[in-house]
Amino acid sequence: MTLNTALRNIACSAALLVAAPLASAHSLWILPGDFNISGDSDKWVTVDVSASNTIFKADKSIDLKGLMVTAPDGTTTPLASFTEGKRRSVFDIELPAQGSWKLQMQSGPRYMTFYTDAEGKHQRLFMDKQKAKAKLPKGATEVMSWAGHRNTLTYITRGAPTAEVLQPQGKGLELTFTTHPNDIVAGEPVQMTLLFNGKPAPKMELELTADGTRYRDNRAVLALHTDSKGQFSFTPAQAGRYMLSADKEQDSTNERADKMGWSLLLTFEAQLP
Amino acid sequence: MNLLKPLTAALLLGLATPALAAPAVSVEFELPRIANGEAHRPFVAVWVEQAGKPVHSLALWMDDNEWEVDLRRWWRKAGRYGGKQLDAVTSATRGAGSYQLNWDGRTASGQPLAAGKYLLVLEAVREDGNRTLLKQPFNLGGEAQRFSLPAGQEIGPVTLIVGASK
Repeated sequence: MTLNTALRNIACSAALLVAAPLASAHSLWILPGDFNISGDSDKWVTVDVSASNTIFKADKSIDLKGLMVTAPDGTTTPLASFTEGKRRSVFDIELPAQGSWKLQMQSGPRYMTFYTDAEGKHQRLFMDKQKAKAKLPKGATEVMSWAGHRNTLTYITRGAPTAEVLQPQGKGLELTFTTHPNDIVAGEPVQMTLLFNGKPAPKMELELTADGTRYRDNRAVLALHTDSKGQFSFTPAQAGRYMLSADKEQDSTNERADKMGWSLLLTFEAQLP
Repeated sequence: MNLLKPLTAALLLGLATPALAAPAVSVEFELPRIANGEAHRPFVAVWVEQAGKPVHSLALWMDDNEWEVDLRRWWRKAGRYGGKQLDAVTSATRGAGSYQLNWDGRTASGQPLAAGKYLLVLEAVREDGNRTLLKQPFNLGGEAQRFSLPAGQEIGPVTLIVGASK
């Protein structure tokens, strides 16, 4: 497990960080109750957000003040309201316009400084390299400051899929889609492109995990690799919900961090053929 | 022209539209009687695809468009792209029984489809029930063909008869 994976989705709620300071990898996911809806009478979709290792079992709730909703015309607004429970956060969202909508949580840079204390225990501070200097105890070794960026998203389509919300923003890890994320079908090939800072990201690895990891012995994570153009493809074997994730880390010359990391997590459904 | 008639009322099969240049296509199928519990009527879509794209809709039996998405393939391929072609074939749900759809091989705008390979698709889904998807490739513009598809849980058996090109 890379540090980046371990840090992929340190939950953003302060309560969680205090309660579980040594929590390991928790993937933050946004899971709509419907990825595709039809009709005129009911335009509401319920959505769960949680951070967990077991896909998709809610574990840690999340403050959703940073969740942004992008309408089919590209206008983006913060989520109006949500409920934060102990294990998950929940909201219902109305989709008044036909087309594809995006739900997205982006964060970063979020700074952390890791060290080993005089007794040999691994510790961390939620501050950058400069601020940590004054706070590190005597005898701290293996000091490493980290700047993390996260991009968690999903798409929901009412009626026919549209492309406006698929436009990349040019920052961090992102995806562009040859196959629309609401047009993915079990048994049919899917093609996407991984971007880093707006450019194709060649020779990167992504992970595809199907829903229901607690109901199978083998976690069955499928490793995907981008080609020289940043493209990758896969064929979901089963209809159902999936988590697609990617992580990148690199050394930093920034005075506030030794390393920088980016994570991407998309949830989508593969429909019945 | 889309004719929908219970099989018992229509023995048009052998004499369907001889004047048309395009071949006559007939789809006969059953909606099975559901034995247990309070059975809802199924939502049914019957359409024709070519190379994965819908080219003609033969029937859509649906009560509320909120549930159209449950006809998964039909919704993904055709329903969500809408269009007047669909309005023309949309009608109320039907109960268990035998049904027959006749089609003259033309699009909704009256254009004969080109000779070639097509796929007949029947999809039925029932609230609190199951989903059945049946598919049968056939050729337009060639020899007469007849296909029999075994019944699924919610639709079938199906008989597809394609007339010879005139």
